Amino acid sequence: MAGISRFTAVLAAGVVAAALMAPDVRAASATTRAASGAGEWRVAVAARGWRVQLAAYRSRAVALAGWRRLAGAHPDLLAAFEPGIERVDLGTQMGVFFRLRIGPFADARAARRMCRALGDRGVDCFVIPPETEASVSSPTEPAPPPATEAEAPPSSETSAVEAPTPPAPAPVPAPPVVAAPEPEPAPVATAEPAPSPAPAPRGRFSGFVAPELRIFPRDEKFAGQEGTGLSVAVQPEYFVEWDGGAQNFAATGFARLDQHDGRRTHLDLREFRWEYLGDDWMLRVGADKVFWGALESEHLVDIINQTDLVEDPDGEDKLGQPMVSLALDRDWGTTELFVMPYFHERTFAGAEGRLRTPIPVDVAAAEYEAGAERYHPDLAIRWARSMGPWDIGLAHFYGTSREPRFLTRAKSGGGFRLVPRYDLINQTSVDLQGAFGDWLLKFEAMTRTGHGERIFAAGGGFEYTITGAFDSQADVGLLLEVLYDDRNDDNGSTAPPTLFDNDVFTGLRFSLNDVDGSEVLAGVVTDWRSGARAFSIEASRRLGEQAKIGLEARTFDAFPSNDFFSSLNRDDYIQIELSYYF
Amino acid sequence: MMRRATLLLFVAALAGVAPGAARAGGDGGRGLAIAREADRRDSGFGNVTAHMTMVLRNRQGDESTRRMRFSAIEMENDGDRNLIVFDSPRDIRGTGLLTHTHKSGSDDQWLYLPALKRVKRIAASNKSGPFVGSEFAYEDMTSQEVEKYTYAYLRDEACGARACFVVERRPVDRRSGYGREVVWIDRDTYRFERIDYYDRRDDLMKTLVFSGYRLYLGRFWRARLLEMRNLQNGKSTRLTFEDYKFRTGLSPADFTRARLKRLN
Repeated sequence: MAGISRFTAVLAAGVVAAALMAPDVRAASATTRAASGAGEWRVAVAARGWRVQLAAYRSRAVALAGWRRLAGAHPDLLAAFEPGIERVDLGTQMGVFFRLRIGPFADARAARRMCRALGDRGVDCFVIPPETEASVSSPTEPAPPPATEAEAPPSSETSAVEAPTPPAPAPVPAPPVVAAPEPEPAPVATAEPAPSPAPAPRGRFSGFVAPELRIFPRDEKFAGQEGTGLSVAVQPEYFVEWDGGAQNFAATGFARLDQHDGRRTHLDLREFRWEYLGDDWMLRVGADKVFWGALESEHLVDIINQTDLVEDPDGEDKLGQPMVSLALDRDWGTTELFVMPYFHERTFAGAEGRLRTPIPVDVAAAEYEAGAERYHPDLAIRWARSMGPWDIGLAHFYGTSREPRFLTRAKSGGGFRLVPRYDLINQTSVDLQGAFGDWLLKFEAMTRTGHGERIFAAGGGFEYTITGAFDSQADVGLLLEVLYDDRNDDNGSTAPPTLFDNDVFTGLRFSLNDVDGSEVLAGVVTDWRSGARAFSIEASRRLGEQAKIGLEARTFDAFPSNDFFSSLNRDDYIQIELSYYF
Repeated sequence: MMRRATLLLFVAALAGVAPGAARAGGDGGRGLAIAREADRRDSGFGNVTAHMTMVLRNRQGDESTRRMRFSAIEMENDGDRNLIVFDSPRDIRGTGLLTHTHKSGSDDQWLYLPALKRVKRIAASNKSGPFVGSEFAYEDMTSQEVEKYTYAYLRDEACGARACFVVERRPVDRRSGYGREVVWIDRDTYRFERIDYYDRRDDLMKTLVFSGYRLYLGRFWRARLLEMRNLQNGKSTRLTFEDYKFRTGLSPADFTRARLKRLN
């Protein structure tokens, strides 16, 4: 019997709670009526954000007493808040309630975090999604409306958006409490509510179109190659978030159409993923891009995404990587886990394209060590944290190497094919960057097994910035990086070839700090053993608010004839790209 | 574009005072006392978010606009943390700039580049460089902590319809682009009304005027409009703050490098 009545009481409380939650036209009109009473003013914005409902009471005085009791018991959580007490008339059946709410919070996560913290102390509460219409009255005693300064431009928009509070002595005056019969104000309803509709999410569509002209001033090197040509890239992007910012979906497509090279004409899903943001964790499912590393001239430890090499020989363009990733934030750092169920092969120029090997890489004939080939599940883990001026990252990767090595296979009709071979590897890496005054220090190192002998590579250097150089507003950055890789040390190495084995990178970054964000980065990588040199210059500036022009030039020379990259010798180019953002 | 930066602001707390760190001038310590009182009155705001718009205007009157989202949090026993995310111009949309200011020593600063999904640490020593091409220098955008200057009280003076203290302050950091600054502070509210910036040659370089003040949470004055005029190059920048929200439940964990990497 007692059990049943208890059950009905809980049920009734639930119904009341649901009724209290429902955006109710009568409630709104009732509150507006209340708001027209003396000493109360409308604060429309307060109802627009995420809030937390602590309780609902039968009278304002009891609600105020309830607030003081809660705030007194949990000052660490609640002292910063000004409570809103909202009158709601639910009709003859239910009667009038006074909801006790705090907020607005920055987003749903912040509101949930507060509610969970209160829950841990035994305080029931629930999260209120933003509403479009509601009024909040101040719990403090009648106070004069807007304390706008005389010089503040009177604007109706302003007074609607901002929540002015009375000036001077801030402490919440303890208003005379109507002697309430009950010694402890008992909230009427704090049960878990039926979710009320959150505002419909609105997506954002954007992206860019970028025509590009690549000029090769020198003659073709191999039969079938073309020279100077046009191409155009399109990158549409879509983003939508809901659940108060806790969940979102992002998609970024990419397409390039190239005048000459059928292999450079390609499509990719750079991003296509759902994300859940918890308080101290994050989960992503879908295609995504992840960057690790610190150096400018080479990205030794960056391994999650495959390089989209036809885009740019600098290797900074990446293909979207399908994955499930989980990040956990702790005091001792952030740990990220990656499971990658699908592998993208590296893109290479076709027979008509420039910047290629004498025999074009036969991407259709790629070989794998893994029996499952591109469906081999790859795994990675990374830990990262900041300590004072340092950021440090440690990572391990197991799976299919993003870098292929190259095998020559006889063609059936005679001649040879150059075939990429993707080994299974284990790679452990560390990356480090630190800031000390005008100096930025950078270091990356990795060791890898799976290509035969274990390989080891490291790079380190600095960027030194001179601000206000030449008595102007411009900054000049001086960069120096030293790169070492032992994979070419023995002649029988079966590891993928690398450009950066015994190299020094010196660079100059020039930032004008002007309205157009003009910037130039020039650098040269020199192999101190072979004398091979690769020079590059990249410059860009904005054109108005929605466009940008970029210039890039690269030259390659003095690669010895036995070097895998010797075919790049003198395959110099200049590229002009105009990006229009929509 | 903005390889380094320090951040906000007049907005951000004039963070806590390390007693004795700032030196009194020859005014019997009155200038320092005024600065400390202004700082004390602005402590305790918790955290804040706002929308910022910068309109850059050159000598010919051509304008260009930057829109940003700003958030900041007060830290116990440390300087503020703040985050600026760009909404425009379009080529830098989504770029995030995270700053951990410290009461002593260098600030920590990171830049998030959305195209590369890359977080770069940046050297926070550049004080005098322009912030995204505007007439605001990075040091103007930093939280103006009391111990970053020495002070001298100059006089009382009318400022518009109000009465102001006029205080001179000199940056302690030799990397500052300013030799001295003259600050008009309202006697009643301790709000900053105007700052004149003098360069290292002691020529008047820039004038900053604050207007559209409103009171939040009954304690914190915030200007809606900051107008910086550069008298040497004829350019000006108008910085507008809108939609201030205080104590929105942000936590220090929302201002970390890991979180910066998850900006959408």
